[in-house]
This record gives sequence, C-alpha cells and structure tokens, in this order.
Amino acid sequence: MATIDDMDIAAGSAESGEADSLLLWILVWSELAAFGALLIAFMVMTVVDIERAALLRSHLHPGLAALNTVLLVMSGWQAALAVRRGDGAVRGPLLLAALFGLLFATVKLVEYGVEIRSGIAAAGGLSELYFLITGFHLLHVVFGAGVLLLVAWRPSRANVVMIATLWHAIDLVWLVMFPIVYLT
Amino acid sequence: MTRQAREQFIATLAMLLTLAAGGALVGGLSGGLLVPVAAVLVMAFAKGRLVILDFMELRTSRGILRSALLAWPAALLSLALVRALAVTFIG
Repeated sequence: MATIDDMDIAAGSAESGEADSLLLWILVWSELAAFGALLIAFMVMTVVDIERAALLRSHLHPGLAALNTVLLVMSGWQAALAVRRGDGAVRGPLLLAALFGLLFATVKLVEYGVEIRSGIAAAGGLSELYFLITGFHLLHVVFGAGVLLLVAWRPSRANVVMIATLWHAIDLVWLVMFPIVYLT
Repeated sequence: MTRQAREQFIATLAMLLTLAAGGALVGGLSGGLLVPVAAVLVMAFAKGRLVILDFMELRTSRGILRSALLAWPAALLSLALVRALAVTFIG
C-alpha cells in the first residue's frame, strides 16, 4: 500500500517532469523565434538589395548545403530512434546522431572556407547576416552534438527525450533555412 | 517498436532523404523561375512536417503545440514565396 510519503514523491516527480517539459518547450520556442526573426531579416534584406543578394548567391554552395541536409536528417533519425528504444540500447543511436552532427559542422566549416576564399565579403551586410544566421545554427549543432555525447555517456529517459526534441528543433530550423538562404 | 512502426519509421527517413535530394535538385536547376521555387518551398514544408509529426512524435497529438510547430515553417516558407513573387513581378 502506498504511503503518503510515496504519493508525495510521485507527485513531486510528476511536477518535476512537467516543469522539465515546459522548460524544454520554452527553449525550443525561443530558438524558433530567434531563427524566425533572423530569417525574416535575411529575406527583407534580399528584397531591398537584389544585386547584392545575387552576388551572395553566386558565392554559396547549395551542393554542400544539400549534403548537410542529408547529414542532419540522418542525425535526427538516429535521435528519434533513441527515443523509440526507451530504456534499451540508446547509446548507439545517440553516438551516431552526434557523429552526423559533427560531420555537418565539418562540412559547414569547409563551405565557409571556400566561400571566404571566393570573396563572399563583397556582398557586404548580407554576407555578414548570412554568417550570423548559419553560424548561430552551427553553434547550436556543435553544442547539441556535445550534449548528445554527454547523454550517451549517462543516458536517462528524460534526458534522451529532452536532447532529441531540441535536436529535432535544430533540424527543423535547417530544413527551413536551407531553401530560404540557398535555393530561392 | 513493432514491425509496422519500424517500417513506417524507415519510410519516413526514405521520404525525407528523397525530398532533400529532390529539393536540392529542383532548386539548383530552377534558375530563379517561380514554379520550381514554389516546388522547393513545398518540399521544404513537407520535410519539416515529417520531422514534427514523426520524429517529434506529434502525429497523434491534437494539441495547440502541434499546430503551432507546423505553423512556424509554414509562415516562414510562405514569406519566402511572397519574396520570390515580389522579386519576379516587381524587382
């Protein structure tokens, strides 16, 4: 029979879970709001200065960005797999998710190198905004990959769900950012 | 995970990868034309929708969270379409 102490612990645990979930979604929405504002600013600037927008586009490499889309989709798939496995073998999928994330970062840095050498700075403020948006996202990927590695080291159900949800939000941001910055 | 769930999960990945490759291909060959640009944006929304519904496991959810999450890519990609229209017809 459950004692009052047991019920207090269960109620406290449920409240803690709800608080964790609320904090997680506040974090996710703050990310989506920040990236939304940055992407709207980018779109406005490309309409205001069409010539520089065309110049910026001529320096970008959609092929490398498409490769990064595939890497991030694979990474998100592995993170989702870790959540579906529950308390089972989650280390493998989490490590693979982190690995794909770090590969994304490597490809992005290579892309930056090529773009800087080709003279993307000629696009002025628009190139700065491009580096701000994609660099901010890159920092999220690197940070997220680090947290994925930490959770893989000491996995708990709550932490796996939390980082996977955050990882999917980072994935979602890239899926929207890719056509806006590179393709349209 | 049941066999059916596993198969659906793999199908989601296959669709995401197909849309990613298709979007990049159409975007690369669009030449700034409006119809391919619109197709790229629709494919981007389809990818985001799959991530929200299947990776975030919100397919069976009917709450405001799911609608709000789906509205985020829809709003930004609609703005991108408006931008493409503005550039085509005005700029």
